[in-house]
Amino acid sequence: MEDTSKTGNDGIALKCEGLTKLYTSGLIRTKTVVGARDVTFDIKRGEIVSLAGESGSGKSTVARMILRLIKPTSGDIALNGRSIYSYNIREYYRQVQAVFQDPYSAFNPFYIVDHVLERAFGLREDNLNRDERSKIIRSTLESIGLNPSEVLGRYPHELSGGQMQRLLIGRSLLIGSQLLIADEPTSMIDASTRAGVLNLLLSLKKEKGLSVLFITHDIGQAQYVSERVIVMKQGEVVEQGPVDEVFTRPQHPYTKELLAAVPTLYERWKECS
Amino acid sequence: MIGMWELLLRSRKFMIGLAVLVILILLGTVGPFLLGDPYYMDLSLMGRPPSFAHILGTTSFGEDVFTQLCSAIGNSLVVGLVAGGLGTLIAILVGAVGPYRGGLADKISSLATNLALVLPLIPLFIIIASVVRGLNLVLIGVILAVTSWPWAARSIRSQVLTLKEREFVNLARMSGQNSVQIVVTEVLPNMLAYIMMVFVILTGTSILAESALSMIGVSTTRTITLGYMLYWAQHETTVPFWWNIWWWFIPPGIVLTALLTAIFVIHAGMDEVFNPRLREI
Repeated sequence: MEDTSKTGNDGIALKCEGLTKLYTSGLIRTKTVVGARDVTFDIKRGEIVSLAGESGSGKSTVARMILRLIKPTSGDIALNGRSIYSYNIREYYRQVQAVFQDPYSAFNPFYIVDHVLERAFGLREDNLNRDERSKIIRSTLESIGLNPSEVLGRYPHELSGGQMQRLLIGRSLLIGSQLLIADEPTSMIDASTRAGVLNLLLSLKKEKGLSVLFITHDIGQAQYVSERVIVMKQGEVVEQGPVDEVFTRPQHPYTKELLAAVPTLYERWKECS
Repeated sequence: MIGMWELLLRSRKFMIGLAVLVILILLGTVGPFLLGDPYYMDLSLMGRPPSFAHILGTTSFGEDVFTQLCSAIGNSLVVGLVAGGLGTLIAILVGAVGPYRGGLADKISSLATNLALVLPLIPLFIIIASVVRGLNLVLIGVILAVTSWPWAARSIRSQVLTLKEREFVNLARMSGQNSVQIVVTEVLPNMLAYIMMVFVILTGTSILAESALSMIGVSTTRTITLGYMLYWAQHETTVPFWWNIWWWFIPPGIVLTALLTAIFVIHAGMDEVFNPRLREI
């Protein structure tokens, strides 16, 4: 927040404008599938924004475009006021990192988990020796509530989903990124460890001013972590605004549907008509 | 991954195959040093049956069959290893890097694979043998490699296509790594077991292919390989001796069978350990 005046762009970390991704297949009779269409939103520094919607609504497509893993068909994405394609790869990934949905596929089963953390140092500008690196890794892991001796030197299949997601968050901290794209980070881990990951994101936001794009299909989690929410359906943004406003007075029928679909405790589920 | 190697050492198939292979490798490497010149002809000893002086008898040129057999094993293994190693390398290169880059690179590598897949080996060798003077073992290995990689490249390609969709590839990309680094450090290690199996099977099939080509006389006719022994045995024994000189063609036949069986059994043992569908744990 404090360097807003320096960059002079109203504290906006990431801005997407008219982001569109069309997948075409076939040579003669082309078939077009809309991944995302005309998606416009921004994320301020130190803000957690939720991107909600059902499966196939284009949430992950948007995440992948922001992460430069796929190229948008049209539209602009700007990081700190500059097009993300004007950064070189290392410079960009030093600032933007991600946590993926499936922790079991995010770690290469061939290596112990240290591999991923060691790799992260390749993005840092300082050349640390082995001892310094391991010291930083240990202190980072401790700061996010992991016991280094419990996770380091182990293979991915020996860890729980929650531990792995924390490791990935730790990785982005090692890199020192300002924006974290969290693509359904809690959907494949145990319900009991879910709150831990969500609270970690909240505390990082508070302590380090981390901006997070929190992608979820769970309205409850969106409400818990974020200030603002963007609702997507079939590749398009149907509604966005402050969480309380969107969820208490939904304007779009799809948002109403989503809210109605949230199961509640101590209440019988109604038969779907 | 470490558990895999232990399982491999416990696999009976793998260990039996390996034991036979090691014995043959010892015969092929140590034998020639101890036994002297395999081409030495003692014309006073033509077509002698097995005896104490000549364990496997002599050929109709008076050469010692056992001495020749040891050299033949060594040379056949050299051809097999050159062809297997090089063929595996080509298969990895075409099968992994091409599809990883996608687009034109993938199209070109697929086209090359399909073209090489239909390349007929025997007519090719007949042409090469008639044109190239002084075919040597390494050259034959190279030619065999050039014709043997396509099926392996295809299956490596399909594995790379699924592996590259895994998130750890994206994570490596977001650690600032380029495509080649990602293929080498993230994708290929996961296929290490498969690549070893490709190497083993390519080595085996190359030994067999070289023997087949030698037997019809289009491979090297100056260096002893198992096929070369069979070629001269059938060439020289058909008319004058036939069954009388059985000790000339039965040993290389048995050794060739044992060698290939060992290699295929090793492959089967590896398959049982590395292929989760066949694993019995």
